[in-house]
Amino acid sequence: MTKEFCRHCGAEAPEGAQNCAVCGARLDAAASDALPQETAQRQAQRAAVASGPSSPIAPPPSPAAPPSPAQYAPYPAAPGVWAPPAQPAYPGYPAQPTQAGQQGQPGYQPYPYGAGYPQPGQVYAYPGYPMGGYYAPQYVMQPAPRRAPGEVYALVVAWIVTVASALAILGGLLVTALATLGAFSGQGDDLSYLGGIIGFSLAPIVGGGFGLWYGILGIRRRPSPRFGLPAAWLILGLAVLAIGGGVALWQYNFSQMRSPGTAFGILPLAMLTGTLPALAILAFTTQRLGNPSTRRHVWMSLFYGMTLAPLLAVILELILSLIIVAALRLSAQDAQSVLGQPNTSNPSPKLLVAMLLVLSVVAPLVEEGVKPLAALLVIRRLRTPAEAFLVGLAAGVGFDMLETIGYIGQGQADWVSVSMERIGAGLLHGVGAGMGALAWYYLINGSGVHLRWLRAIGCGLYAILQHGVFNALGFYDLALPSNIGAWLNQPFFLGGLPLQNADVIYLVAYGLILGVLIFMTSRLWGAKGMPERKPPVVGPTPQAWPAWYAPYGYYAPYAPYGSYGQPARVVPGGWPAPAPMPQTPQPMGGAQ
Amino acid sequence: MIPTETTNPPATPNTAPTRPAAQTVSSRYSLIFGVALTAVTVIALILAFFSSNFRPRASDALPASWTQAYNADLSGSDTGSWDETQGCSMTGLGLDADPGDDNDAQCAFTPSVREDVTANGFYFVTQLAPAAKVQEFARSVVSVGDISAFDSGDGAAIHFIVGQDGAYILCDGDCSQATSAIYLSGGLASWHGDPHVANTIAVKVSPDHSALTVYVNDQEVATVATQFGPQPGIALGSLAGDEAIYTHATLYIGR
Repeated sequence: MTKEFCRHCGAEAPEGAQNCAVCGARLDAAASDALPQETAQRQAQRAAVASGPSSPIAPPPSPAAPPSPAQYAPYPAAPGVWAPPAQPAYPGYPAQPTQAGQQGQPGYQPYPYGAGYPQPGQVYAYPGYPMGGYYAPQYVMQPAPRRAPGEVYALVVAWIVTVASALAILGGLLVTALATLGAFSGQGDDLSYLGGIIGFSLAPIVGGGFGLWYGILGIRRRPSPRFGLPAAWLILGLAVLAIGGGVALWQYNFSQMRSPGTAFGILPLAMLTGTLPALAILAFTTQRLGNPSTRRHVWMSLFYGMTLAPLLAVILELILSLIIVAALRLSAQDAQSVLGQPNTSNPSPKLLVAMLLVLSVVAPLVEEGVKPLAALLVIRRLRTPAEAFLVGLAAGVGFDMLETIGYIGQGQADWVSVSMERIGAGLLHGVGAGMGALAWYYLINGSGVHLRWLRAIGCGLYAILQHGVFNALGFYDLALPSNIGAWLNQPFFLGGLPLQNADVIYLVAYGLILGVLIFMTSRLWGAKGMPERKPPVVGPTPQAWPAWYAPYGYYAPYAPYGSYGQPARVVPGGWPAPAPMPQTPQPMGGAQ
Repeated sequence: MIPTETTNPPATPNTAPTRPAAQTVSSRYSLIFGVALTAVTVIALILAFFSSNFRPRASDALPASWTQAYNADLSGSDTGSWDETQGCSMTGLGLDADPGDDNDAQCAFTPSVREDVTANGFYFVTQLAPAAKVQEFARSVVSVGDISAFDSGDGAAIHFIVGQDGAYILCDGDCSQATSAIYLSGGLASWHGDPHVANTIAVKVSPDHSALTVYVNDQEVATVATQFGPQPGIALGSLAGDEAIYTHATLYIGR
């Protein structure tokens, strides 16, 4: 009889079971690849041992390699007495022939299997074993495997994600039903309306679907594969194709006095021009960081950025804006400018102050505060600063996708000019959210990191400052000389498509943020992460384990990164090799 | 000798960080994702190109038998064709409907009121100046029917009101929720929201006066059933506090 143990949590699994009864992890996959090799190897060893060494130099079963726990079985003859199963007598180890430069070794005495342990006192030791009871520690009753630190928390998060995702799907379906009614009252051909609806119907439905999927996988403790996207240049090329196609279509329709097209027909292309540049930024970052995270973490963070984060941001920004309006005692008309569409045609100084506060203080604080919350939720599960940065950036990219689609819709027939103006908005939101997540990483996981607090505060401040400065660029005509401001307000035409000279300012800003992204990804790529966490030691757990026995020595929180998407690395014992464990605690390196 | 502590694989010395090899991701996953993304982009481009044909177009709605009765560049001098007594004036930019903050502006097309030109149906199209050339918020009003009854609330005229942001309302009477019929309201995907691009609005009344169709930039917005009098009038205008400048107008009539 052969016992199986879950490689994920270490629990004993019934023979033939597909999944672990404790953690739900699958028992096949890599194990199914590894175990047959292990069995074959050991059977060959035993056969060789039983028949005697066929070669004088055949290696004996090393004393350092006791039978794997996978082969232990309860002693059938004496219940309650731990003894190895009856086996043919160990034939002993013959003396080694003397070789040049070596001294011959005496053989081992035959080992009497099946003797069992004495019942009184339950002294677990093989009597008469010449190695001085070496096996004794190995037969100590193993304590029940315990979950690694954070496993329970991960399970709770998975449940929360599952329930919240189901609610999101229901909410999205409800909004879709209401939106359908609105479409029949004349809003069906409104790109602004449809763009807004996407945020409150499609995003919760699609994001909820992803959340449900990954939540259930999380509850079942199924490891998530490594996150990756197609090459960034491919997505960037598609973004250029979509925007270029939109520009060409606009020129053609305009020159032919042709209808710009219906909202339903335009919407897919308009959405792509808003999402593809942001997706290219995500792919670029992922590939520069060497795919440091899992699909579950990145996709869930992205959909959090598309759904819950904007909702939280809208609520908080409204509350804080109302406080500013009340504190500055603005008139009703000025309050409308602050709370609704800003109208800077001829603002009063008080209105200017209010708008500057809302756009450059409230919005950055709130948005950069809420975007990294998805990363914060799983921050203890993120092993490296690079992973934290990527998960945070994903939330920012999701946030940008939703926001950009909304802005594009407001352009109606000229949606493509808005797409061009916001081509780099994913950089603003993504890098900001990534820096915010990095700040949380250093705060919570950063024990041992050089200048940990400075890094954390610096990253957080950078995110807020970057957003605040970017939003303040909208007030350029107040800060610059009047002739420059007037020039910036003039349009220039791409064919017939009008763009604004002031777009140059934003393009420069996007370029600077891209530089920050390249710099950060270069620094984070080589940064070390957290050491593996071990479960608490319970009972007389052996202190040293042979190399092939390492999987029972500690339990990785989840499957080693190196195994995602790759065949399991198998060590001679037949088990997949665990993630490398440093001999000494390694400091979590930041951008060293 | 049994090692007292073994790591697997052996721990590497703590050297300066070097770039680790990029972890491989399932190539099948990336391939499927990339192919799907490419396909979606191409399909979206095709869909956008043909979306102009998804709704009726104004250029297809003009019967061949109808003739052009009026065609004027309103930025030039065209005194007499438009009533300039209710908040309207001819300027170098065009017919400027700038009513101020108290009243609405209504510039009646006098041939439609004084002559029998619209009895057999008509198609009227006007072009607006870009919003960037308008001092106030650009909001235009095109009225058809008994235009003398504007704001009277008796439903004798139908108004198409659209702002520079593309938000519109199609209503009759004084366009109030209480006393008027609000046929449709919302936004227009065919509206050029950019303040530097001009828009065109067209209205068509069937020969039996039973239907009014509104077009924006060659694309149909809506068709509403109505019953105008024997000679429906035409007027351009703007709402109180807003402004609209009309640069061109053309009228086709049925025989």
